[in-house]
Amino acid sequence: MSEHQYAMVMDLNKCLGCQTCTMACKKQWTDHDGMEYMYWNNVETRPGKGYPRNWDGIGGGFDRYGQLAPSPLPVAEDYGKAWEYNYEERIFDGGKKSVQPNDRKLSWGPNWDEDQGKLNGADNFYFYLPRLCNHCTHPACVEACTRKAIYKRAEDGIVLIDQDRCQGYRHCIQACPYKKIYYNEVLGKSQKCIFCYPRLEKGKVNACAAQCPGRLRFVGLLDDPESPVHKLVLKYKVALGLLPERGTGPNVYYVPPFNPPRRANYGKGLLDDPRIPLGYLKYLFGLEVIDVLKRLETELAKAQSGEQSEILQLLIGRDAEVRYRIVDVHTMQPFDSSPTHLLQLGLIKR
Amino acid sequence: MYLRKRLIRPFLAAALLLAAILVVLRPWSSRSAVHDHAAASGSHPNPPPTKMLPPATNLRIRVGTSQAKGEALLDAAASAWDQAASTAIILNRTPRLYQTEPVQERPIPGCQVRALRSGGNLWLRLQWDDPTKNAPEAPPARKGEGGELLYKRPTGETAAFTDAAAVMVPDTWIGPAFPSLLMGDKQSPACLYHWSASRGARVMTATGRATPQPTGQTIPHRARHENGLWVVTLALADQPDGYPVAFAIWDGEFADRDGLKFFSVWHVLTKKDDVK
Ligand code: SF4
Ligand code: SF4
Repeated sequence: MSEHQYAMVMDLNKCLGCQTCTMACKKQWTDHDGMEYMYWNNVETRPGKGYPRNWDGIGGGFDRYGQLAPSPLPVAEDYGKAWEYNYEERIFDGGKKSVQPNDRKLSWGPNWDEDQGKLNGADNFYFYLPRLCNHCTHPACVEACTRKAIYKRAEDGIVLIDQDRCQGYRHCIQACPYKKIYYNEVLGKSQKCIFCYPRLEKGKVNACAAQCPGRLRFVGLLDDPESPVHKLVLKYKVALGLLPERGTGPNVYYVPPFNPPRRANYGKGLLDDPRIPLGYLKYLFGLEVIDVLKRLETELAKAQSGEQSEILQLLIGRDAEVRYRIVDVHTMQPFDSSPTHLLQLGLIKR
Repeated sequence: MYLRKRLIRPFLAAALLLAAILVVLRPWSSRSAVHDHAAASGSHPNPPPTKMLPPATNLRIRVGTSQAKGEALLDAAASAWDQAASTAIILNRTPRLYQTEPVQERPIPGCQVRALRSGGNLWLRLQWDDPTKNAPEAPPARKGEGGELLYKRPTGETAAFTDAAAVMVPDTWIGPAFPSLLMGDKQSPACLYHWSASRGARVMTATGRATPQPTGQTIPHRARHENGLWVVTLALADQPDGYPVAFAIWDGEFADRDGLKFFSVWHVLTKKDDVK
């Protein structure tokens, strides 16, 4: 257990699937040799196979006796190889051919089954699931690394791989139930999301959150009562970790998606005939998801009847200052960049 | 709490069952104890081995001397190697890393080592069985129009592992006890010459398990995979006679890496003619 723990909450009801976060991360961190297939932040359509393909079906994390249960390693095709298009053919050589990838045998990519979803009776359903390393409380990757190259920072709970110690053995990739560590073949090292610690240390929020037009990411210390993540996860209890039964204690939390009931059931409660089958949400977020949905439905009813809902107000999160609380972990004070007008209005506290 | 109950209940049930069985079997127990004791005390001779093991001289590596120029010895087919004594190394398999991992039944590869001193180096010629060559390497960066390097170098395979071999000698050693076989210890650090089919041969030092650190040095080496055999020649810093040396090999085909490997116990370097 670290002294403090950075966490992120994502409201899945607001994600547009635009991949701006994915690109923000790519440009910031994974634009180097050996990293082209890596998306430390990826956004996948659920239900779907995700990235790497079938990551949630192959194992990893701890079994019920607390033993590491490593999975097989995903192969390059499971991540999807980067491809180019036949622009030259299309533009210069006759111009009649349609634009297609040069490699015609592609079978997977980081967003292959986008917007496919599934049918629930006559109604299609899907939602976007942005994923990054969960900077787990009990990281399976740390436990699996025989080189002791992975460590969890005592001051803020961020999990990092020491690139000098790492020998590219990839036990961590097998152990991580979320498959959020990637192998860099050029360097012979494993690499992963660093939760933008160099940005946080300067008072700037993570690149994926900063760029998100859906404004659905909330960032702060889980143990800081002033932080939005503390409120959403611990006070209001409306956000849950992914695949909790894998035993790693993930610190990226999700406000579960609550679609309206299926078409034939207008006016019914969200849980009476849900468009997204509850079994699927239980699979992703654990049994607690039902209580969370009930809580959210109550808040929604409150707001619809004209009352004020603190939870929904926070989830709207219009201003960055409401969504993020980045503090100096040694003093627990925000960095001085906090806008004074919001301080004066009492919307945020120093 | 729930977990604990789940674990304890079957355990209690098993304990009760065992107690019941013991009560029933009591009259026979003294007789079977006598029988067990006889078996344990070795009154039964061991059966002869099904396959003869090489004699104990194989725990010595007989080092010849050669006038051949160093570089020439990198050629595993050089005639100088015919003069060097060949030692069969008995390899052992390390245990699985995680209890949850499936057991892999694999034959232990045969391994032969030859050693020569020349020009202040200890030259080793390692040869071992490996039906598949595994030497994954990141593909080169693609070039744009006019040969310009527009692209980053990609990762081609994420789940491939390289064949590799290592020779371990003490870094500093006062003897007479061997250093720890788990890559040395604080008193006797180990020096590891690690060759990988993907990344060449480099030097590392270690003071025990999980501690090897690359020194940044590389050593002259050459490797060839042919007819299901790896043959690798390496030029180490010379080691005095009487010094211990140990070997390890990794088979990339089976995702060997790290502690998942075949290893030998310590052997001792001796002059070629010391042991007949
Ligand atoms: S999500 Fe995976 S890589 Fe990240 S801390 Fe947890 S176990 Fe480690
Ligand atoms: S940038 Fe925001 S809205 Fe767009 S995909 Fe990422 S999390 Fe969703």
